[in-house]
Amino acid sequence: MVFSSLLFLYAYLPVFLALYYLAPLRHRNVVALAGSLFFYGWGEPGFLVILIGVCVFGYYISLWLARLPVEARAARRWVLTLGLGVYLGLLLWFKYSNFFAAQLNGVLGWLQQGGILWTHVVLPLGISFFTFQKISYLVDVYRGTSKPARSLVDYLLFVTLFPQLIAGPIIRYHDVAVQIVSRGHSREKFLAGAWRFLLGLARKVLIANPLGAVADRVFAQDLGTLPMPYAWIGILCYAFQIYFDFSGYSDMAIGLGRMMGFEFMENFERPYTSRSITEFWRRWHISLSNFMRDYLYIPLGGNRTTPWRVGFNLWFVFLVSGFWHGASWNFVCWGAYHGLLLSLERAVGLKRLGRIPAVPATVFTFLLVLASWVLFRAASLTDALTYFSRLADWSSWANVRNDLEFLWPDVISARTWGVLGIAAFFSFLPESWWTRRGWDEVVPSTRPQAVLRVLLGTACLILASAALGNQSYNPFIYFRF
Amino acid sequence: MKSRPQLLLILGFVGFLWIVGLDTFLPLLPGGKNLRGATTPPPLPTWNWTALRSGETFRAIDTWFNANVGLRNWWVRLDNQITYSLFGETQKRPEGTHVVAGRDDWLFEHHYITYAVKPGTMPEAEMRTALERIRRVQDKLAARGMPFLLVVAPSKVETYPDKVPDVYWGGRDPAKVLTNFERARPLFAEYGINFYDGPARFQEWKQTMPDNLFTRSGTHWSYYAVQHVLRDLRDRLNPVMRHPVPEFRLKALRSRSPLGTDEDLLALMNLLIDTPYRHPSPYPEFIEQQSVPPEKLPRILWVHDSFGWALIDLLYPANAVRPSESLYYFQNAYAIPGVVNLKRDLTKTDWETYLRDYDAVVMVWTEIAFEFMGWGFFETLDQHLP
Repeated sequence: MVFSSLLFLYAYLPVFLALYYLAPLRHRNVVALAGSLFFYGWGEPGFLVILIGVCVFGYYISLWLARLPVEARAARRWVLTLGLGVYLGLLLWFKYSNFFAAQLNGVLGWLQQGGILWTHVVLPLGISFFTFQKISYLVDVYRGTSKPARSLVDYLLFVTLFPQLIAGPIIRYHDVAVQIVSRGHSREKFLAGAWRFLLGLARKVLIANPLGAVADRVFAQDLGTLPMPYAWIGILCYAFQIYFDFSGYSDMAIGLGRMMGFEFMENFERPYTSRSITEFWRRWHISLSNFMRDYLYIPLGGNRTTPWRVGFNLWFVFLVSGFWHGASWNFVCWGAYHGLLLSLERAVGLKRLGRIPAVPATVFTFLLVLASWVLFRAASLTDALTYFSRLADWSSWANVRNDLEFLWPDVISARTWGVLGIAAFFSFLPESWWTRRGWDEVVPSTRPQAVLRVLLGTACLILASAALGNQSYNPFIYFRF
Repeated sequence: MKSRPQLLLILGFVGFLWIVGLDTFLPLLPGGKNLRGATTPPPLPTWNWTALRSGETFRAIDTWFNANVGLRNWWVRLDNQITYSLFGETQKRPEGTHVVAGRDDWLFEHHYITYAVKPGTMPEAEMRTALERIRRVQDKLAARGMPFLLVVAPSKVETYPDKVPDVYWGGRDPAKVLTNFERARPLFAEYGINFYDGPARFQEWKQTMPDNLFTRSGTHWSYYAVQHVLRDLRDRLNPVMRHPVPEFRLKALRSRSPLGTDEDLLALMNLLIDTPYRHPSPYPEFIEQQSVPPEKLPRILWVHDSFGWALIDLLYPANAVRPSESLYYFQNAYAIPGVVNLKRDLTKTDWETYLRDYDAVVMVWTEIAFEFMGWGFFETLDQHLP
């Protein structure tokens, strides 16, 4: 199930909220857990077994780890390795085995040998996210940052809590351990959560979806003949689609969590206003950056080593991060590209970069990010390279007018132009604009702000429902027969 | 914010979710689901272990819910209204009829525009074979005392190309592109097919009655134009029919909000408020003739696409013909007037016997349906009539 669906909005959510708030306080975790498992099982119930099975393993291995005395360092390290091995092994199997099998068959084919027989492995929903959460829990217990969960229910709830189960934010155990045991529920919190949820819903449905349709249309064309204006429109739409889609989902997750009394970390902080790639990664998918920093970059030596090693560490972390995003060479290159840019910025010096005026720095950073989205979105590296060439093909303008199957209004409508304008406007508004007007506050501090939130929230709900309702209505003028 | 308004807000928010959710299953709210346009209802979920395990049941529930969600009528109409009223365009849909908003509220179907500027590529030999067959069938019907008339209806796009936004032409001029129908036009005469050239007739009429041949809101020829078409058809058929069509006289020509096929595209757009886009158009009403007794009236078999309905809609209430049947796309048989689906399997029809009761066969197709060549009607009759 996805948040931005009518079924979630008008069936799952009202029923879940009623059950959750009608349950006595001490049973709310059980209701939340049952609701989360139901949410996850919807669509692919077979994967529930894997999710629960790995959770049971994770809970008991962490208990084992916690019971080992601190002095038994080798045994503790062995248990940690076992746990990490199982988690990463499952991730490798489900997410990457198809990729490696394809690579192996490619090599065997090149050597003119017969390929291996391979049955496609289906990817369980959200496995990248919940694997990282379980790793954070196990490592936290190993390091002593957190005590193990007091019960299997608490642990299962930490991993499967539905607002963040499918697409984050990646919650680290020590951030929510206390909230799982005890959290406050209040009207302010509920309303703040509802506002944030509706804002996220609107970002996803009203902005990301129409822009995504344009990007999908453009990237589905024969890229070799794609006219330059379409190439630019396609990648711009994709840049805003991925931001509003992902940040909208995070907003919905944070909002739903808040409605249930949880406080999750922020995941996006206006990333397109960044003046450098380093800043971009402090603002984009923050929970992943934090995870990578705490569980990979620092163990590799972090900043406390030679400049060359720091540069390599950064590059390596982003290479891994790229591969985490998806099992293809495009993602590996995307990660390597970002890692390289970060290492270069570190070599040049962030202070020196800070002297560049804000507007050119922001525009330049956005262009660098835009280029990375080509790698991220294209179906293959060859496609990505072709796409880059189309972005600079000035001779292709005439094709925009002549191709009947791909006319300008069929690619991007006037409404989508409006959406693109709104997306760009809000993406590039500086942080101070939001802060000055109180939009950064969880709970509104003035009456006009509160009234405005109610009105905007209502508009978001109505307009998003209208867009969702219309998406599934594709009538013909008459039945032909 | 104070505590009581907060509580009211929470109750209002959750209550709204509940009401819309419940309205999906029970009709609680007004006007929930009456949307215009033809859709196939989603299949009901399957409840068995395999479907449950594979997630098929859940996906079907999702689809069903989307198609039946509470207030769906209002959701769809609100979204369409925003797109049309604020941006002057229609909703883009992955499937279904693609409506294009033209100049001054003129609406078009997208595929008519594409057809008008795509040169026809049907091989001439193929055209000749099809036209030969039509001629054979025409002769076989004539041998049974039954005239045949092929009516080609014009496309709105070809009649009013000036109302289509330039960007949709793809840099082409429809007047300079020969479509398959336009290529075949001289061949109809060469093969001696009794053929009514609607597109050419409409170009003539456009000089004298420029704006009313199609309404802005419909995709088919207007009822106003159809009254003239019917007179033409009567003139063509009467000299060779056993029972001629009596004269039908105009009772009134009222200017009114479009209805029926005159508003089908606007209806399909499903707007919340479409009054500003309902431009009044003249609507003819005929006097019901009484001078000719029913048994002396002709019985016409109609084989047609959707352009045929406007002819039927005007002709039958005028009592100018006997009740008969319509073979819509040569797939479904309807009793007319009344348009009752007879649910007859046309492949099991004894055509010799069936046709005996008729005085004429009229086939109506739009110029863009030329390639379909009667949807198999001619092949069937050619095969079954000796």
